[in-house]
Amino acid sequence: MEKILKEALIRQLEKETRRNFLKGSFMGLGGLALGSMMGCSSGSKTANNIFDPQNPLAPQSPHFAPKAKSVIYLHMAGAPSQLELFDYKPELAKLDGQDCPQSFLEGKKFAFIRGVPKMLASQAVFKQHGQSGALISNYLPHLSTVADDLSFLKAVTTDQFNHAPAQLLMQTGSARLGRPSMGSWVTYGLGSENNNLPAFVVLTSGGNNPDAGKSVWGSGFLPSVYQGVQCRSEGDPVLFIKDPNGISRDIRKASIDAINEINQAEFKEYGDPEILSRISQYEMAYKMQISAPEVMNINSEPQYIHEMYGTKPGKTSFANNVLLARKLVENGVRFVQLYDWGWDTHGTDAGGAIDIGLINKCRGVDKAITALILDLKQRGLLDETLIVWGGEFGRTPMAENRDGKPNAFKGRDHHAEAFTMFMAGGGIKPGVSHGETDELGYSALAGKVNPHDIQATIMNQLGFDHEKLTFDFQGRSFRLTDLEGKVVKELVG
Amino acid sequence: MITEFIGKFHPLLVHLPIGFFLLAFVLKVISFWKNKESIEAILPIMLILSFLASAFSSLTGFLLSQSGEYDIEMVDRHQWSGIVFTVLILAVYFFRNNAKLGLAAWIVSTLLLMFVGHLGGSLTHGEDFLSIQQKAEKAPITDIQNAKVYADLVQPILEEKCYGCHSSKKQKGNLRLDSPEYILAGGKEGKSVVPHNTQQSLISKRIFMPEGEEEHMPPKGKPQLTEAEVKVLDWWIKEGASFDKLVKNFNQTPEIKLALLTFQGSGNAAEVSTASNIPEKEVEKGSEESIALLKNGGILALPVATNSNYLLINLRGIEPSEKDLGALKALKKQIVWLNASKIKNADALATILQDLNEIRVLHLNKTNFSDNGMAALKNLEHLQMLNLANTNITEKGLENIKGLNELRKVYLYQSKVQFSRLKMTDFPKIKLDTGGYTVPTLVSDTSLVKPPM
Repeated sequence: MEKILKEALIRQLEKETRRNFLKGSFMGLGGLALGSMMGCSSGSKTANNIFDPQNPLAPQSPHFAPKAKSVIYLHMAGAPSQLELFDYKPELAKLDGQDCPQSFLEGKKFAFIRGVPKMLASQAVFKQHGQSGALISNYLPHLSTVADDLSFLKAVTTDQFNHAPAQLLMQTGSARLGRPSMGSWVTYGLGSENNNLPAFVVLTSGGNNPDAGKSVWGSGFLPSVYQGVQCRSEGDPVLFIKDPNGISRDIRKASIDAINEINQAEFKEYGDPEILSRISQYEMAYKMQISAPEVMNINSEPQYIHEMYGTKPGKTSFANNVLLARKLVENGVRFVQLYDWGWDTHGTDAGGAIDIGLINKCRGVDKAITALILDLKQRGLLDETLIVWGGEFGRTPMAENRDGKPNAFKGRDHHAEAFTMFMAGGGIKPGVSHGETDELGYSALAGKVNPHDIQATIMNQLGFDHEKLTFDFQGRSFRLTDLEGKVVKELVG
Repeated sequence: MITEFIGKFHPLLVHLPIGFFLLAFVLKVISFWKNKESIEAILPIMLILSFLASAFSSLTGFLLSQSGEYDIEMVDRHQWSGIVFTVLILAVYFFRNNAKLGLAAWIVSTLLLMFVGHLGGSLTHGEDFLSIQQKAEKAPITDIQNAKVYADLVQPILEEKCYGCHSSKKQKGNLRLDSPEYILAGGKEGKSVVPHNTQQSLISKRIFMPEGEEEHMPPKGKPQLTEAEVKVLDWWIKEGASFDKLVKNFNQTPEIKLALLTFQGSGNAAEVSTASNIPEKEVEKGSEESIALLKNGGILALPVATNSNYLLINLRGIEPSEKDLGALKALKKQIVWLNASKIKNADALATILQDLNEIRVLHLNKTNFSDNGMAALKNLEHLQMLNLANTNITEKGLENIKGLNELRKVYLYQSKVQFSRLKMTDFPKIKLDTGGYTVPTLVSDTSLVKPPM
């Protein structure tokens, strides 16, 4: 009943008056451009949409009792080579340097491989680790020590072999632009437990944003209040967080109150929920001025923690972001998304060589991820924090031969048919290895898992039936996993 | 084979005679006012076209009906009225110059066309497709243990996911699932249900096949059974496929119990909740007043799930007032998860902790919680996880939790516990996490591999 009334109210408000229509027509193109620039779209709100426009970030209960309260998603943008890190293939070593079998090439498309490439043995040395006997290579000496806390998905497949669409598919459930990201869905479903921090924070490292741009943490057709807030790990975490010189806290508060009053009046007139998003963003910004500098400052961490993570305050690094992620989760942030750029090892230069650049990339993340797992564990937080690690696709067992000629360094092309991801904490059964690839690591044989399955599993741990968390937009109910997605039962403890 | 294939074009072809004939009829009506001559010139062509299309539709319709997937009685009526319509088109054609007979033929055949079309629609979309009223919603199951296994669980699943092809409307594979007799009778491939024997029961076999397989049911592209639905169907057959027993009369493994819980509350099955850190038994709603009081103070008090009355409390570092403590105590039956980290006076909280004996997860980290408060935890018999990191607890305080049978994990990082004095063997079931982990700094951590010169 209450929902119907709410809907009726919104409908009534949305009714166009003549003045509104004329105004809208004049604003026409400019408005359209502005709208798309800001990634907003108000859409139509119906009873199926669960958020309260007056308080879009109010905490809400999930569908069933959750195992995980928050998620730290470590996305290695560019796609790390599973064959150098987790997917041990001794048979591939025997074929090193030989022509790739025709069966691998027929009817297949690659991003750069042309003609008949040579097979390329793994450059890493593998060993089994822990009681679970997980195979982890010498590229990740630290992570090997926490092998028993990890659970591997060895046969992840995707249907995109270019970075941007594959990243979008992994993070938004669709290879095309316009869908809300996983963090936005979670925030939409759960609201925020912390009034002074955003519920969905994004941290990037590696020198670049992911290829798919900011859309991978956008809110799509969800109200923009749910989009990821990108913070910096160097200098002020959020730009302009300090009050400008000469402006006191009181004046700042008064001016934000005044702006919000105008916005409220505007909302009363037009009923566009985006206006409410804007109001709550102003309020959030004001509150963040108080708590963000404290939470987002890793300088205050003791020395032994810096040693543990390998952090160096004051510079942008993956390790700094990882430590920040722990602090955010400790303070009730729901979803922390890390992107580390630079894993695209084609072998066209030394930085992209699987025996040079890839090792260096691993050194940049190995210690920090290991520290994160151990640190969350000792703080009693790992049980309720889900860590997800992975790229957007995998890499070929063949050496890349751009334009039909061997590359200058050892490298592998994009590969959508099989790669490895891992999860830890958040109620995931530890020490599991699910899925299997063929003896050359080319295709998934058993335990195939696609991005929608991973999303379904993450949502499941947070207490959501991924099929039921929906949003009505343009006449149909949308959900993160679209029409697919199965929870990976083998990993769910 | 080929005839069956041609039959599949029937639902497409039927629209041709409908379109042709209705257009002819409309033109005929218009001709009473104007363009009489030109319309009469083209009407014969349109009628011949209608006849040919109608005849061909009847033929393909007959071929389609041979597949045996439709209700015979309804097919019969549709078939004969269709044939009569085809003949009537001829009547219209031959009597077109006879004012009286011609008009009668026009009107009768147009009415008959609508009737045939409606029968056809009922065959493909189900008999009740043309009604404004929505089907009555089923009342949600409130107590799963007292629900009827067949009537409340199995039958709704079959209705939602199987009736489309296996009921009065269609009988693909000669199988109907819309009554106990039909279910036990099976279809042309064999028995769909053999009580107690899931190996021989085709339903079990087909729903457990990988989705890609040809014989998997429901077929690819149709709404699939959820995991919980699959489990419940299989369990029902395994337990003897009774049509009248209640859930509580069946054996239940923990797995089935969880699957069953998803049917409780709302009418349809949800994804299996694997989280079992809430009690199985549902509890009455906690006092609204107490919840509102906590919320006003900034404390988070939220149901753990939308269909549950159990509560999650997060103090968010806020010092609970006397009133808040009273409210927490009033909610003792509901609170299963409590986060009190970072509050200043945790020992004060201890005074009410002993009453909160439904608690599963308790975070007391970053507080001054000490051995004094530990005695309060003695009664928390359902406690599974206890976070004492950064507290004043010593090894003496831990004596109090030895008897807690369900406790599995205790976090003691940066507490005052002297681990050398702690005998881990005293806590056989509990994992005491001492923390203090380090990650050594290797030479390789701070150096880079360089390309060969």
